[in-house]
Amino acid sequence: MTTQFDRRKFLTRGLTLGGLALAGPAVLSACMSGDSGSASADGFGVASQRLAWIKNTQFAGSYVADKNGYYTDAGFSGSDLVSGGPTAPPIESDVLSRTFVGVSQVPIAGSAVAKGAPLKIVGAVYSRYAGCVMTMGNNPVNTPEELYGKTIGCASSSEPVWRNFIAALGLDESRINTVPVQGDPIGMTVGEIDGYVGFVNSQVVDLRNKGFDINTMLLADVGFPLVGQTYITTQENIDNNREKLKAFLHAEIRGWKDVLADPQRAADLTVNEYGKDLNLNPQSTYDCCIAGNELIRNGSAGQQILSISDATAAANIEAIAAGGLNLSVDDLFDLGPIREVHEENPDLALA
Amino acid sequence: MTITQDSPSEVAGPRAAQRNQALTIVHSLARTLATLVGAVIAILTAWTLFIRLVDVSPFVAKSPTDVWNYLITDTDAAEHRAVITSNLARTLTDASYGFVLGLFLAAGVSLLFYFSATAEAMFIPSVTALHAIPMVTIAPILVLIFGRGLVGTAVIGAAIVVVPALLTMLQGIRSTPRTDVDMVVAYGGSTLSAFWKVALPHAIPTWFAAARLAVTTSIVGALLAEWLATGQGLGGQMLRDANEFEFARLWSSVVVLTVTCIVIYQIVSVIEAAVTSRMSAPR
Repeated sequence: MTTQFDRRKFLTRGLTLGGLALAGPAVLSACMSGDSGSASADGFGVASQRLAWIKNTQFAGSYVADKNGYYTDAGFSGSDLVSGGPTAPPIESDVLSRTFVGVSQVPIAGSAVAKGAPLKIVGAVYSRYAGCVMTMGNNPVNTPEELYGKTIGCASSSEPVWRNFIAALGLDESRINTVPVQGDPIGMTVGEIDGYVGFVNSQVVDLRNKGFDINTMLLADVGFPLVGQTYITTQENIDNNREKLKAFLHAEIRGWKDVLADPQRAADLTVNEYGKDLNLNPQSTYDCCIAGNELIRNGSAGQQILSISDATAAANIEAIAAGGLNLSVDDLFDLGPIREVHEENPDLALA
Repeated sequence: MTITQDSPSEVAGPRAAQRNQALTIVHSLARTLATLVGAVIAILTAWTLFIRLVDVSPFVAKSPTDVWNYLITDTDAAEHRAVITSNLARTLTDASYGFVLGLFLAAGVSLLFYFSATAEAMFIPSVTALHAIPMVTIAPILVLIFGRGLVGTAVIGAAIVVVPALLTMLQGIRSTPRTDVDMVVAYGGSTLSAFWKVALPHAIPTWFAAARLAVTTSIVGALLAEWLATGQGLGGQMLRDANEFEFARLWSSVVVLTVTCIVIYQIVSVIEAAVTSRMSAPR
């Protein structure tokens, strides 16, 4: 008797779920309306951008561009910075259906393109990818070979890059024990893991400010030439909204130039305004911003920031090919718009 | 006289009971199948409609057809199935650790609480409150203590399984009719024999009810352990899929996992039905 009752309950519950699934979309689509990203009569509409992570200093250039009105200068009615984070939907998915541009990583955008998603990388903030292997000062990893026999923690969002790194350097994956560590690498400070795949402009700074002696090995410095913080958009935007895309990139370049010139202001904006809810530590945020600026600069005079050279693009393609992504430069990159922006505005180049 | 009259009825009685029991099981199986088919149709319909209505890229939101293609008709379908099956085997193994440890703990604690009302009064509020703490936040601490191997996986799984199982089991052992216990005591039986003869037979059917609930919770526990501790199995694979744009595999894994859960749940339900019809006396 009781079993019959339970089954009925099971069915009822199933139906309730079904009902929710049916009602959900209506509510969701009601929430999503009003942000189609298409150009309205008065200019380009809203510059909507899906950020790769929470609103920390990694996106300071966009905060400055918004605060200083660079988006509106470029013809947008305003900007919409959509925060990411551990539970956010995939960036590529948002760019394909909601936002104008997104900030992603080369291997992830590459995976999406390999699956047939009509996306392109149109620029990159960091000339060197910020990922590094962080270790404790008394048990350091300074060369890729020293990874052998070590237990390395890695967040699931960094794992594609990490696997790609191991493959690109020809390391033996079976000799490195990669374990999932979502969130803070506190386990490293007590010896539960030997290292952590983190970012030089994030966890490294945080742990150092907590007083830990942290050693870093930047993946880009040991033969993994990825660019970081890549801007991605759809092929359709490149084909049909080219001027809008160039206007967006123009505003971003101006914002990032300001971050390079005045990191203190960028850090303050992050802490007090855009990332206010995150309760960021002002000193750490400033240090993160400085570390990020080091990744933007490639050391050459008259650097055209956010742009990517042909050689760099080819090196990126080669690096992800080792991870199993067989794409050509033209499959993944469209650097026409960003180069046109720099050509048309020579004053945007760094001094 | 009395012997010849009595013996046939004594033989017929158990036989009829056996036939009844077999019928119950057949009925239960048939109903299970019908429920399964109905549930699948309902889920497929809701899923298809949902995908049609929401504004999510088809590269991310996969339809039942995409999953069917990925698992059955694609040229690489056999390879796809092999990857998912081997990861599923790992997840089910991980789940079995949490399942066994969780139910074992719950059974032990429920018996402890049966014998000591004080212990129950002391610990029940904190046990239930413990269940309200999200596992995601304490799992990293459990990992630090118990490691990333079998023990860590079992503990994370058990931590999720134990509370609902315990509450179900307690309800069973408490449902023991007071009058039956009183009768055993009145005829000179000890507390222990009252427990063996009355309370335990009443408790055992609910142990199977708890086991049925624990099927799904233990799989959730295994996935959590794989997300946060080992990186193996379907849990680890699904998390990587989301980051590597392997959405067809992700959706397919969810479907395989759901179907597996339903099948195991129904199997345990059938066992439970058999045990209940055997153990619960007609009243």
